[in-house]
Amino acid sequence: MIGAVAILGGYAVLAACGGVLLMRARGRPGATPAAYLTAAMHHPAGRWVVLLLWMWVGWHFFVR
Amino acid sequence: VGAPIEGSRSPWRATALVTVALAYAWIAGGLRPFTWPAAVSTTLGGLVVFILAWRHRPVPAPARYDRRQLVAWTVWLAAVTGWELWALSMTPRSRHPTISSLINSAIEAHPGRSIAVLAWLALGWWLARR
Repeated sequence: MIGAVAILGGYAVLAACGGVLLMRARGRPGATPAAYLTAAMHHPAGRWVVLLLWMWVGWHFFVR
Repeated sequence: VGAPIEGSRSPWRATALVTVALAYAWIAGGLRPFTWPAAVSTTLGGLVVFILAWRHRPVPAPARYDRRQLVAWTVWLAAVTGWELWALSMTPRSRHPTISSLINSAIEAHPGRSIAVLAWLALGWWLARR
């Protein structure tokens, strides 16, 4: 049975991988999450999908 | 789509906006989940951001995108989602923490919750101005 330490370790590894991806994106404006989110926000449907996801995050943590 | 909102042009207006956002975050952070006040305050914050997004003229998008990096980010996001869902499917939660349960532990107290509300609002503000 896998325990909390292993699960937290998994999150830590994933966070480290995210950090590596962020480092790789340095100096490349078209390779960051911000660039991809900006692209999504330029699409009429993508704009509202991203905002609805943002709203869901707020509802998830602050209401329910 | 109307004229862009020029929030940062006037220092007084920017100061007022920051003050209102801080006050909102402090008040909203003090509300208990599963209550009507929490639902109303979160909905109000969301409405403000949605109105801003509707009125704002988007900033120019980067001219070129790195497609390989997009694939890498997509794989990373899928891995995070998969790990989260796998933990979510297991019990008890104390032995199988999810990202949500970890964050919920961090935002149980009023100050932490208010900081989280402020971060959520700032993210929404940033997204609405894209």
